Amino acid sequence: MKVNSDRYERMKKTGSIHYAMEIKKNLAEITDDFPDNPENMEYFYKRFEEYTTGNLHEGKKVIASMCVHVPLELIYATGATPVRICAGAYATDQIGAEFLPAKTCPMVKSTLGAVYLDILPGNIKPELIVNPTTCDQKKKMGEIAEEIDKPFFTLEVPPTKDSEEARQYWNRVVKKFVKKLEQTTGTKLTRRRLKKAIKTVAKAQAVYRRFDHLRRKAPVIYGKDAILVTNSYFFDDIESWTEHVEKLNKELEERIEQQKTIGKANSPRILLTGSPTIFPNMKLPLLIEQLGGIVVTEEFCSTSRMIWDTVAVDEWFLYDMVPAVADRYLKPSTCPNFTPNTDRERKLLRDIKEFQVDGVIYQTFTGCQLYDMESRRIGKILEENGIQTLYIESDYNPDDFGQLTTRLEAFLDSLKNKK
Amino acid sequence: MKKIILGLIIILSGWSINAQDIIWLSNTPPDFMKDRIKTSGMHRFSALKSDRRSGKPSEKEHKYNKFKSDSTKKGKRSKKESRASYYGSGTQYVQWIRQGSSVENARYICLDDSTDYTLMLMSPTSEKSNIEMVKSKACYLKFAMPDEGYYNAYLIVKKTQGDTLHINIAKVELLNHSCRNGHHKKLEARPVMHYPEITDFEVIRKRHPYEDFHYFSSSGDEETYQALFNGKPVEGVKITMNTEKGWSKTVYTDKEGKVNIQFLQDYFSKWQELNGRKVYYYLLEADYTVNKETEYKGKVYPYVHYTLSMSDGYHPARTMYASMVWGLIVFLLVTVVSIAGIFIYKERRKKPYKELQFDEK
Amino acid sequence: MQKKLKFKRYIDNSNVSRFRFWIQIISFFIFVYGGYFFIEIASRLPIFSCPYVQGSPGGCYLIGIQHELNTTWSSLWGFRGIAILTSLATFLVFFIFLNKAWCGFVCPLGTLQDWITKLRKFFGFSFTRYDEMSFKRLKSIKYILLVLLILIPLGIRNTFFGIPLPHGMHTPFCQICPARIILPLFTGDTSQIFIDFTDTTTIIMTSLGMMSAAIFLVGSFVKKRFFCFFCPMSALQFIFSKISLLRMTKDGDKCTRCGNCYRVCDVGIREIADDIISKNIVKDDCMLCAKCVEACPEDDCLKISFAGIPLFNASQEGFFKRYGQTDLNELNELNKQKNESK
Repeated sequence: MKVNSDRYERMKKTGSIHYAMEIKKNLAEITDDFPDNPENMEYFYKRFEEYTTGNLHEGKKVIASMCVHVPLELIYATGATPVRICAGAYATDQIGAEFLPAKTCPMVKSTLGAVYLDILPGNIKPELIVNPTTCDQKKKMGEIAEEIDKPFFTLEVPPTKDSEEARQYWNRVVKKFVKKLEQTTGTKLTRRRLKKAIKTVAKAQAVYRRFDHLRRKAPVIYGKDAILVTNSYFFDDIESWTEHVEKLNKELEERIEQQKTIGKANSPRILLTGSPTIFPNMKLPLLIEQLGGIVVTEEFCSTSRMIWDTVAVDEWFLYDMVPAVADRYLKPSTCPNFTPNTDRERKLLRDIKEFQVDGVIYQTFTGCQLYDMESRRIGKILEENGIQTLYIESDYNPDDFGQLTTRLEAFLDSLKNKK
Repeated sequence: MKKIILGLIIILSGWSINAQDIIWLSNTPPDFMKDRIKTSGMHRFSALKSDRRSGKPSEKEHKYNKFKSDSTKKGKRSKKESRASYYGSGTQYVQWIRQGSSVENARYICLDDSTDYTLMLMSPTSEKSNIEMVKSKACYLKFAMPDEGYYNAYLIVKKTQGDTLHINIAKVELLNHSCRNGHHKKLEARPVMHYPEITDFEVIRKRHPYEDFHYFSSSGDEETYQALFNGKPVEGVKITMNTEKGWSKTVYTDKEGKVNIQFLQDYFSKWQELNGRKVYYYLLEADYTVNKETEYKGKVYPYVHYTLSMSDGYHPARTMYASMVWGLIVFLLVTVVSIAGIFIYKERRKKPYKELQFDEK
Repeated sequence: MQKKLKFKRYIDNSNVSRFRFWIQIISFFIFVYGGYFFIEIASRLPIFSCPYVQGSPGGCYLIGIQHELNTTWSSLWGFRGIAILTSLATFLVFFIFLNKAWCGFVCPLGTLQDWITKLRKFFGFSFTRYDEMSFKRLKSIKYILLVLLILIPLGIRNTFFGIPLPHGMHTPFCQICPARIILPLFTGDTSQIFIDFTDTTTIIMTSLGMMSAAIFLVGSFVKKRFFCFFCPMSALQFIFSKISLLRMTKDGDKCTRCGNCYRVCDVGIREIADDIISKNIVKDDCMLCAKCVEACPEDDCLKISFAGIPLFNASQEGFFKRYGQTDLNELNELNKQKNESK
């Protein structure tokens, strides 16, 4: 596609401005509307300030990824840094709408817009954009991105994860992906490097799991902050991220000891699930917590699903490590593109139990068929287990603010009364 | 002419027991009894088929055996009854009395009441028990062996000729063992027993240091025999070894009364007839004359001539039937084939994966 | 998270594989050389304590059962039957304590296979796994062998369907068992490497034995615990596995089906990862090596307990201790050394 350079420049200019404003506004809301934010959250707020201004991973090769199915360990092991570019900005959503139908998932549109305008987190210049075939919209987005000469690589994700055939297929896909990575980065995958990458990610996971367990213990951190922590895993340097989450953990532990909890005793504990909340699209968690609820946990592919699961290797050789990494990105995933996806139900029920959840808020983006279609079954199961569920369809447009407030208020009140 | 003389000799020898022909106990049944015999245990002891479990003679047996009562057995088997039945050793084993030096052709004979003979069975723990002589179409000795270990059976026949008293001692050492009874008494099988109180002249087979219940002589093995007189070794006893295949060797005992005899490898089979467990028998004869005045039936004899016979089985040579080389060949062959198989499998995995094939029929 | 006892936490964080490695060495030594030191354990053990090994301080139950069943029907109902029941009871008395951990911790042939695996790792040669279909198909072999090793000795004495079985088929499994050939080698006894030309049966049986020894060595080099998958002892043990005191249980609700346990499983049991319904997760191929528990990152999802007392539980902390930080430090040091040498 021939890019009309004049128009493109104009679009980029206005888009960037809108984008920066949106980020600033959201960040201000996150930091200023709530009292007593943890000190160590400062680092994460800073990371998001640098979203538009910073030069992330300068001098390093960057591989952009989407979804939770891109094996990060392999990217680290081939000497590159992965950055997840799934976007949550309304500014780029509008750009993406130029290429895709109006009823497309805003996340896909926003990502495409960001890719098109080259305003990726931290102004990275990715060597390769890995696009897993998790849903139809992603697939078609890949085609369009290739038309506008972006270095897209399609990672074929099987439609099911239970069958042995799917596993074999996925293993082959990952092997092919390794070859592509080696070609792109010019670094060979070695035993030592992959082992180090697995251990590095495992360390981050260990720290994250600790963070998650602290959230179970007592309400000491708002969901909006927790989402920022996990969202910064998208693009941050993994070692520095680990270090700072560790620091945050220490602070939270102290807060638990001092019983410096947030909210009130009757604040409804909310579990968020469905289409992922990605910064700066923070309107749902922010609204909930402004209205007196506490988001205790999120079952999103932008949060726990991305970090939680671990890699176990029996023999530290490539023949075992690569399939082990591949398995980790397929088997435990609760992405609704898989059928059957009973693991998601089980995970939700487990989380509800462990986090003592009062109510579930199920978010679906306009046009996100998969989460929309799963919402009925999940709702039924939650109802059977006596959990109230609020179903919300929304997108990145801030216009539905009023309507959302009314619905959330009513829902949270009913939960409060129950308590 | 020669034939007539030969015939005469045969008739003569059949007519009366020749004092020079050795009497021995054999495990091999006469041809007409073969189908009524079942062998048991690893030493192939013969037992009458009908006797195997009940310990009582069958009806068919009774016909041959009318005049004989079975009262003797009853008293004997009281103490060890329970154990005996546990060991499955209610079995009555049989041995045949044979005469002649040829293992293959020795006659099956019967001893009548006019002959002076003694029968004795010694258990591994030196307990005496009786042997019953069944006189039917074929004469045989019948006895039970309830315990594990070496039993010694003796048949001692005394005869006079001129101024010599001939004592023919037919002896067998029977190793009673069944693997089914377990192997907890592995070493107790070894001690060799001899009984000067039963017979003053005796030949024993020396045990090998590592013999156990499973010991069986084979071609190529060297066995040591020792001649004893009143329990002491004697020198210069003539010992002749005859095997079933006709091989014969005569040696004299040394100062310690010992002789070493190596079994010749005398079994070479065709491929199709391979049988490493085939049992051949040997007959060991010992001749010894003592110049000692002995009273027998009121008469004094200046010489006593002892003839001792001992028979046992032996297997074909072990080395012929166990080949480590072939073992290694099979081992290496299979190793190489499986390594090649794995290699091919791994190579094939490198190619794009195999498609499912449909049957077009 | 519940507060755990300090001691329990220490155990859950420990490295059971390392512990198992040493236990295996000790038991290999005992079960191959113990006899030389006048150690006498018992016959009818639920492992390959091979009586063909000179120094063996015990006996494998399989040889016992084959010997005992070489009998007639009628005597089976008499004293013989009592003897069979007695030795089965002996087997069970031992088995009940360790369940299938006999295979994973004690069996000398199993240990040998683990050592061969170590050798393979030394060469960096990749292992193979059966695909799902072959796994299911080959799984039944051990049961077939078990049935045969019971029926053949009976068939020698009793003739089934008029098929005469030669005496050479006595203890049929021992004759084709690789332990008979390989374990005596550790005491310097090469006498089991041979083809017995006694008769056709023995030729066939000893040849099969030599073949199985060769396949054992090659097979366990490319596949972890290759032989255990076909071992009739494993099948026999599984029959009684439910009554054992040592148990491994799984809490399906806590499982994320991440497949870590399946990945580290030496015998490749899929159910350990996929089955979220069964509580008792000891499958017929399992040898209770606890590697899956080590690899499980979910608190208390997999548990090993003895008579209800929890021994070793899966824990997140333990997982990261085993798979994460400690080794990372080593790795960093390695990298440092490498840089310094440059």
